[in-house]
Amino acid sequence: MNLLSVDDLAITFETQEGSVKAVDKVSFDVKKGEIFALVGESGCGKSTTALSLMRLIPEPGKITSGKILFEGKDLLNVSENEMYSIRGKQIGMIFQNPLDSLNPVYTVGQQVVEGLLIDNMPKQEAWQRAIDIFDDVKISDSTQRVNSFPHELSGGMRQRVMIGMMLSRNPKLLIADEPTTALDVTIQAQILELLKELREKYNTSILVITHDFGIVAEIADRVGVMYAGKMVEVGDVYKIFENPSHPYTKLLMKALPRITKNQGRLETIPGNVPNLAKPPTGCRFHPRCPFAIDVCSKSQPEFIEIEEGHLCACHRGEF
Amino acid sequence: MSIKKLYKEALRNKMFMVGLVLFLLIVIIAVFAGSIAPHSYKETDVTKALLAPSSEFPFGTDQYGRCIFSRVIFGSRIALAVGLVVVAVESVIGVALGLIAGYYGGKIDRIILFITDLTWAMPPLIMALAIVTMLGPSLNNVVIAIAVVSWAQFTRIVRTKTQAIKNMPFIEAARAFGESDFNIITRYILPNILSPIIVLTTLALPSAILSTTSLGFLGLGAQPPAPDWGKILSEGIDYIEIAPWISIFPGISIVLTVLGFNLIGEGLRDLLDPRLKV
Amino acid sequence: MSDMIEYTIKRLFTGIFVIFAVTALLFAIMQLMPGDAIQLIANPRVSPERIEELREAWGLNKPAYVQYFYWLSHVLKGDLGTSISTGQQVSVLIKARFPYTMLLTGLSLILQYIIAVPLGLITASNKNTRADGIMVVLTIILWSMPPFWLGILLMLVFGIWLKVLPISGYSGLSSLILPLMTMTLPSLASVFRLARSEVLEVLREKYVLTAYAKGLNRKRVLTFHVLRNALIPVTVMFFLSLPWLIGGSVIVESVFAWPGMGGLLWKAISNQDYPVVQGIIFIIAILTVISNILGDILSAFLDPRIRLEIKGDNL
Repeated sequence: MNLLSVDDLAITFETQEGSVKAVDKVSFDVKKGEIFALVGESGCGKSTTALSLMRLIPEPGKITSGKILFEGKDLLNVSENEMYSIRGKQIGMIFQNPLDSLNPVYTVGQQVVEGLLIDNMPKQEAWQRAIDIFDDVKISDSTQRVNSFPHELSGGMRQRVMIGMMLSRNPKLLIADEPTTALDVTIQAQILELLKELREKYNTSILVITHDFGIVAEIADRVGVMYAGKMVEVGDVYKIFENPSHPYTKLLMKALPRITKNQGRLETIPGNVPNLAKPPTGCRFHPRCPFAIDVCSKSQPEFIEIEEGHLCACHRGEF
Repeated sequence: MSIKKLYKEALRNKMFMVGLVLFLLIVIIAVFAGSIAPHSYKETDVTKALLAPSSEFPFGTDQYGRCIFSRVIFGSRIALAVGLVVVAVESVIGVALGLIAGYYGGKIDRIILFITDLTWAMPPLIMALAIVTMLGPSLNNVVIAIAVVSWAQFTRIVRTKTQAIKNMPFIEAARAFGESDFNIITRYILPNILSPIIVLTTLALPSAILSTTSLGFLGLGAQPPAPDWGKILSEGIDYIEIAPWISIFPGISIVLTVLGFNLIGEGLRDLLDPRLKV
Repeated sequence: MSDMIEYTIKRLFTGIFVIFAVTALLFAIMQLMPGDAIQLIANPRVSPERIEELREAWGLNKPAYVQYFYWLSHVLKGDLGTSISTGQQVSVLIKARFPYTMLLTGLSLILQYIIAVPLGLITASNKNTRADGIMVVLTIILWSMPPFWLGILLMLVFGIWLKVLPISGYSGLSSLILPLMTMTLPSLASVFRLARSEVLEVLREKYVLTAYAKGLNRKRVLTFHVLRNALIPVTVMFFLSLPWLIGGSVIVESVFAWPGMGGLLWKAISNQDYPVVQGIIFIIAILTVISNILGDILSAFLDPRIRLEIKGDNL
């Protein structure tokens, strides 16, 4: 059953150079209990998509069309007041850099408790719950740590706090935007392990945003590949790894950023991410695509079902 | 940013354009004061004292029968000249000290920083007042006093910016090629911190003009019969009930001049260095 | 907590050092002045011998550093010397004027912040609206106004045309209104600008996004997360601006004949009355140093990151 269903979502940024279609008719589903990964280079619109699910796109971004169905309710039609009760309670979100994302002037405990108090939990109970949740995210010495300020903790520890904070109200969906990018490789593995564990424990679906196919392989059940604001391939993680169909997906997998250690930008794919103010005609990937033929620059490819549970938008998808 | 793009954005920046128009207006007035002013700024005629604005005296006359309009027109020369000289002096001192402190660091840096903090520690107007009184009231001394109390903000910002770029690869490279410190500072560092300096300079101008007129108001600026805007204004206070125009018009000129520079400065900041804090 | 106490003591010591440095500097500048006070007040018919005697009496024939230490040793006993032009104790003169200046500047400071900070928060969080644009332009105009002219305008409108407020001297609280407005409006503009730009800066921070993502409503995010962080530099500015305001009081007090320290300083400067000038500048230096220290301590109190730095700082 689908917990979240994004349908033809389009997001435009009005800039001085004209309107930029950062996200263009993107559709995907996240099922109950699954980990879905959105993967792509930086600037492909994956983070914008994630923020739009919370209706938190920064100015001057605007959702121009589409639907975001969460448990059947279109989040684009609810009032801002109702969004307050969805954010944190139904959908939680963690960000790339755990230092930036915690308020430097409050203790981490205060910041966790603050969320719990929205549900009118008594203060004492909220603090106890904060300590419990710190145990859950494996922060040792939790009774002391709740009184630490963010800058007194290590990067991995801070990300644990973020995860705990966002899970503390038992949301049905957790969005993790590049949750391990700013962390050391060893810590990365621990955090991913923790996310998998917590999914079981809290029965939460997770939407992971990443540029790293290594992370996808490690935790995702299904994956959506985005390129230049478009979804190009969606499917079960095993099927995609076994049989990557879109040329971009193939190149991404070959690029393996974890080895080259290039943060975000994958220089092994020739060419650059296109300027979305003037996107290429036809398939957006065709200027960089080694398999491009005439039709690729003329018409946009539609999704084709490669096999069950595996869609690909490519004119030459049979490859 | 390319010059062309900058030019285009400048045209679009309303604040900057309004400021530029005001600035050009003041400059034209100052340059052609002799032809614009209908009367002499110093000739007195007691029979025409304290006249209200009329077609002959657009801004009225003062207690000696002098034309306020002409005095205000000629006064623009004093305000502009003093403002420009003050800013030239304080920016040269401030930027030089900032570059030295930032580039060399260590003991030199600490000494300069201490002097900067010390200058910063006292209210500038009080210090300027004290200095002008000691040196005697005159325009030259006003220039010295204001420059002495206001160079520190240049030093602070230039120092931080210099520290930020002095270890960049291109500076290291220059050093490796055996460039002298002087060359590195003037040819490599200075051009790279020009934007904040330009913004600081344009924003220092209005405050220099405000300080000049403040000292003039207290009688410490250009001595009579020179048409110092601040002085004209303060002389008017005695006649405020019967001849308010004496004080009103020089005040408007000060506001428009200072506003012009402020708008240019704000506009330039938006264009060149939007996150600079002054 | 003990770190904070240690830090406070350290700051106090540097503060005392700064007071010495400023007064010494001032003393040095005074020595550069051509002629001295005796020449100024003495009648040309007074014999040169008598002038010498007077110099002896005032200690003006000693070398500058001797005079400085002489002055300093008296200051430490609470004796700021005697006014050359009136013969009164400087401390008595200042004591009579001090409360008026503090009343004016203190009230002005409080007024500025309770108006400007909420205004900055509101306009910044509604950036690019018409109200925000108007406020920005208005502040630049206020900024461009010389305070003495603003004072004269207010005087004209409220004192002379509308005749609702007294325009000079001190005759009860209504006398306070015009000087207070003159002093407050231009500074209000700068505080507003600072508050606004700080709020804008904080609004760009990731933790604001986190706060929303947690489910907090806008009001809570703005007051608890945004304002709280923006207040740190604003608080520092609050304390740093006190001496600037006192500096500005020279002008405001002379426009409105307000019986405060600024007016006294102005008169003393015109009469080259050294002891009074020195006394007042000494007081202002102390006030400056105290407010700097208060600002530093308070910002450490508000910002745990600074506290951490203090802990690690073994100067």
